[in-house]
Amino acid sequence: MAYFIQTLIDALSLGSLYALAALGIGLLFGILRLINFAHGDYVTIGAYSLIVPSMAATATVFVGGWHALPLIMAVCMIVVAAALLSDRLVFRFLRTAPPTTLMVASFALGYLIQNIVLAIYGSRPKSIGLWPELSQFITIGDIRLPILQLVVICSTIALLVALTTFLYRTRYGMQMRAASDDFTMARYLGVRADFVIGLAFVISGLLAAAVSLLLVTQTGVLSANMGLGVVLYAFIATVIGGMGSLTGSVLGGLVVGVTSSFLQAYLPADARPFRDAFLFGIVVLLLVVRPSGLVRVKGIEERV
Amino acid sequence: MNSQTSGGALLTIDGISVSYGRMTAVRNVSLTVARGSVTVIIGPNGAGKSTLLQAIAGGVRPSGGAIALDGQMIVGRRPEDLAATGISLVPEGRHVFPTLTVRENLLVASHVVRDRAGSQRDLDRLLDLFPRLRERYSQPAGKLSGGEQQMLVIARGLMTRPRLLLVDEPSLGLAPKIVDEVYQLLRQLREERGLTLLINEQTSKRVLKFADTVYVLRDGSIRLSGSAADLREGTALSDAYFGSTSHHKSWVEEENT
Repeated sequence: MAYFIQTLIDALSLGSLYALAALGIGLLFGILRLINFAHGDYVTIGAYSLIVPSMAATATVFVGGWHALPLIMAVCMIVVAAALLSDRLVFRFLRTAPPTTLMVASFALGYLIQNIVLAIYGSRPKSIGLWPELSQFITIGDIRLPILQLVVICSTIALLVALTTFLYRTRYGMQMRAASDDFTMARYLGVRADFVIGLAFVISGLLAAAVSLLLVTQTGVLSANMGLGVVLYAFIATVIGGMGSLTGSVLGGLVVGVTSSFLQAYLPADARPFRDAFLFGIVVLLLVVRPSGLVRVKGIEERV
Repeated sequence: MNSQTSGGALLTIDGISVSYGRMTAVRNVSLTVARGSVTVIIGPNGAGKSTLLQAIAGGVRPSGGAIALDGQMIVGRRPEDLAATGISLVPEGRHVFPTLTVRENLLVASHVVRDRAGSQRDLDRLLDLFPRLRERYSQPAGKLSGGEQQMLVIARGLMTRPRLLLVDEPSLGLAPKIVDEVYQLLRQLREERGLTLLINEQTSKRVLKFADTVYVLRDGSIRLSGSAADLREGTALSDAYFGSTSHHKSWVEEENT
């Protein structure tokens, strides 16, 4: 039982991380029909902003040494700036381009960011201890719960509540949902396109910053392609959740994370190295049964 | 009948053309919409009617020609800015925001008004005008029937407080009884608010009774224009519509019965 509960917390924590990343991707897809593969590289930028730029093998903390509040704010600002800049320099010129062009452009942008990171910080992964006090445990009976994983789950819930409140309780959130339903129509009714798109990049950047911080605290390692792993799973999450549905993105993230963790915990030892093969096998089955994802969105097919 | 007796043209289109790639959808079209009037563009499917309205609302950019609203040149301006200057397009095919509630569909269009109390009053008045929308107030718009969605998009188009309302095929895909209701509403709006209307239709039966001025658009060009009263008589309208003089003489008579 204790093993199960620990695995469950593990699973929810990993699922939360994927859900946050998937939400960042899903949000931009909803507004721009952009499948942003550079989203993972926003995560990388956030992580690297914690240390002093240098090729040195050992990392010197920069923003990472600040108090929690200014640290979080600085990382958020840097990642949001990167997200807005990527729109200004790349995606802005592709507003009327088909979604495939946007996707390829996001691939290119991602590789560009990775190589810039390599050029500035060197290719060796660096270790950094962010918020080491979070790696302690709470012991309840014979269950040991890692504080960090509870923090991950709670932060995710807090972010989801905040985002839902924004989308459903404010006029700008309403404009975003309208633009996501029918962008052209929203513009005919006076919803400013640049504003809504900018807002989507800001929120997407904030979500990426959150993933950065949670991921670095968890792994303690920085590498130029660290975001890639997360965004790959997050992308799968948005697909099985149902492209264009934010609820679907969250649900998909949880399904991928939870399934992955439980496979890791309960597969026979010999089969564990093939965990991802089992995971993707389940994903394929899920897509065979529900090709348009867990949450079906009307009208997406004709617009893509 | 209405307060805007100043007359004159609210909208003047001078020789605009619109192309999609190599295909020209609208060719050198000129037309005038008088303030407080109802102008109707009649034409078969694919004549370029929708493109014309989209060009006026800023959705597509003409390759040449001029469009003026109240004497102000508006070609090249963004749709959201044109919405703020008083053009509202109710597009064909009932583009409701399906996941937003009826209330949200209406409120999202009030952004350009910048007067929240005023928008709330607009909303209440529109709900009086469209009582069925009041019943559906908190439901997602995607769940409404076709007729209800058409009412919603017209009501929504009015939330921006337009000077010029462009309505693209309000009767498309609706039962005749619902179409009558929609037109009754448009008439009411015109009489009560002095709203200027530019409407696209494929058929002429209802709009001829309703319109002041009629243009016939076929293959991207204006084939005929005149006052609705004149065009109700004779076969000029059907000739222009079908591009022939012999076969379809019975068409207008059928439509008018």
